[in-house]
Amino acid sequence: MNIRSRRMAVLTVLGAAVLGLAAGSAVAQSVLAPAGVAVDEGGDPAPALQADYPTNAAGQTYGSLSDAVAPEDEPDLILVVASNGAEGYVLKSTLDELTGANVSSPEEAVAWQLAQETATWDSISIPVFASDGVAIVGSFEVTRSVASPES
Amino acid sequence: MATRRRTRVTVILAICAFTTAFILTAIGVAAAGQAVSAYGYYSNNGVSYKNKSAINTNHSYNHQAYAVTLAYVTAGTAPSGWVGALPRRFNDSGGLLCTGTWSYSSSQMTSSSGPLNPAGCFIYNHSIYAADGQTRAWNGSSYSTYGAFTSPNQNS
Repeated sequence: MNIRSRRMAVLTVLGAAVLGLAAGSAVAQSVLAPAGVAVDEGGDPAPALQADYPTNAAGQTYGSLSDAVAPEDEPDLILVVASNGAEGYVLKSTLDELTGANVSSPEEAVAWQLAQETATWDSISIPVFASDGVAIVGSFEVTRSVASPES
Repeated sequence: MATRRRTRVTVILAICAFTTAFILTAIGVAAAGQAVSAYGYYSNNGVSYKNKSAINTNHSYNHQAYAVTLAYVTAGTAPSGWVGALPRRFNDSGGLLCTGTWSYSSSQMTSSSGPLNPAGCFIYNHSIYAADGQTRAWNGSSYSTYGAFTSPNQNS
């Protein structure tokens, strides 16, 4: 193989690698874009696809948070992995209360934040249920967020 | 004959290079101490924002990892309490592995402010980590919630 054709071969392989990086990045961003969020500033937000959650005998919906478009669409029982590794569900009402998802105004938000910064707890354990919302299969920990040292 | 073989080898190598690069970036694997997602952009109530998820690992203590969700104001002014961020993680089947608590901006934010960047969801003794957080913006009557891109996997 002469030098010229060898150089062409190397450039072809490198070009393919660069194309692969660009294509992979584009696919990862466009396919996985969260609902309502754009991949570019001023771009079109990704569409919202409504999840259809099953219902248990008690009339509670259950499923994954990652399928919900907005908090009001989230199921009554949220799919989690318990501390013992078992899959089960926690009550959305319990989770929302502990995480501060119920905050409904900027004034409440500032008060919540102040309380978080002065809180003494690091984590709180809540029960994990089977999809019937009754049988307990484990526990799940909610950890209190702190300011990150990185930005 | 030899030329044809060389061409075939080059094509095979190019296909391998493309496929490897595509898979690595599409799935996302990072080997350093921090893996960060792409930015997502949104606007609400006259303020423009961007968000992202990150996962950090700390080898100094029990292979600890934690998720960070970052919310930035890119244009306009967000008064105190307008911006929220929540770090959390899911497994591949959508099960919530862990969650932090919502953090809200306790002071006004502009494009020159640092991000709201709560860390939470501390995890120990796992080999691969990824973060998938949410952020919030006050729309004048309630909070609008936005997902952040999932971070690449972070190998411990």
